[in-house]
Amino acid sequence: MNYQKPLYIQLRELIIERINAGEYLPGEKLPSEREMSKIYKINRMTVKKAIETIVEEGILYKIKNKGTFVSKQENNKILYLNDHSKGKSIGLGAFINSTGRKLTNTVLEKGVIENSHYLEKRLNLNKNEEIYILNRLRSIEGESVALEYCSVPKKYFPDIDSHDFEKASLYDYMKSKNHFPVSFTQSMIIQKTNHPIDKIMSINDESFVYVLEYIGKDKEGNIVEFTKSYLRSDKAIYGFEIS
Amino acid sequence: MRALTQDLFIANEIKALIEEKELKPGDKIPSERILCEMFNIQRLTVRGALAILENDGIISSKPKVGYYINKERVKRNVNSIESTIKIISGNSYETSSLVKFEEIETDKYISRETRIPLGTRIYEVKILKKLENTPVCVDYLYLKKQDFPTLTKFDFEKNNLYDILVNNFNIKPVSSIQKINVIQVEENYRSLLGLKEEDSVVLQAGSLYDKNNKFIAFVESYINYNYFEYVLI
Repeated sequence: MNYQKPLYIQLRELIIERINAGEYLPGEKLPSEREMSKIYKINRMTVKKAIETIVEEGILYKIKNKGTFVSKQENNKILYLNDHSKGKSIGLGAFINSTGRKLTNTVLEKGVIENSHYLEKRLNLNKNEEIYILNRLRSIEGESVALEYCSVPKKYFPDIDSHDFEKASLYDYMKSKNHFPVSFTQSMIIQKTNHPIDKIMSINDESFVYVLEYIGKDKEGNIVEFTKSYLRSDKAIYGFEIS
Repeated sequence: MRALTQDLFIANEIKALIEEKELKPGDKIPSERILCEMFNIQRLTVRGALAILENDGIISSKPKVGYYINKERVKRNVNSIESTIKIISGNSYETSSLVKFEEIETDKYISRETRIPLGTRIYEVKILKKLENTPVCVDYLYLKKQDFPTLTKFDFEKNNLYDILVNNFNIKPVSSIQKINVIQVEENYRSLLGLKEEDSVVLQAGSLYDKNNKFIAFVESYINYNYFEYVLI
């Protein structure tokens, strides 16, 4: 923390940081002004000032006689940040978990898919090599956030079907098999949802989604994953970092 | 519920077929009847698949004639700051027109996004980008007057921001966090981009910094989502 800054700015930054880190969740009540004043040994007026600036921005809101709460709107969209410069992509599951929200995965389909010329091309496989698909709906608090169509070459993951990817992380599993994706080719477009995605995600067909496609390669350069995922634009902001 | 419905599966296979046959924008794709035979499926499934591809912007239908491959989306490359900024502000468009060049003071919103104190004098540059005469993107550039006192001399219709910064000010933007959001905007933005009333706009925004992490500029693009694809290779 920078001690040059006025106390109310420091407190303001602290609160915003905690909201971003998921320590204070949307809808949750903040410690009262009196409590904060006691914890940090700051004048009550200074605490008030810090909170007022955040309320002004719409990140917090006040309910009379009840306290200060974290807003659920725009500002609380998940920022799904990809650090493209390092060619890395953190899985959506791990990313959401890191924000303190609880992600529920529903496996809609899994198994070996046959005669998909499309996936053979994406995964660079021959006709006689098996492709395993895992299609999952990912939700937070009962609301869909993303729909992911994932496909992997079965040859690298022979026992994949015996794992439960409603509970386990696919990337953790891939790591255990030594075929973890370390570099990615990605593309993203934004579109209105349509059949059949709207129904599966329980959103109307005027809603917008980010459509991400990525091919992941392991450290030897083998293609180990092709994933197409639909991410709700009313739930997330898509960010990328260049450095 | 099934995620990979039969029509979605077929839509993907038609995509693979288009790639295989190396069909180009403007080319006609095989007819519904031929596709039915090829994949051994019913007419209804083929129509469902073609509707998916149409919504994805890959094909368009001409009634009673057939389906044609659309032009590709403009790729906004996010590999490097140079390619990202250049495509935000110039070069790959046919025309850029300067709509506004004004000296303003930072308001609450810009101040929040840039961490420049409220009331700082800045230049606001508004540029409309067209692709084959269709407006596809409106850019706003915000730069501190104090850092770029001579900015008014430069032609933003012929040069992009990146080149102006590097060639004329010897300033090289090297890092940025760009955020892409889908938002509802006022009518004048939508009509400028040729979007319908219920349509949303894609807003890409972020500040640019030099190697010492010093603020250079804040850039916002209001984008018609139909024309762009973000890529990282």
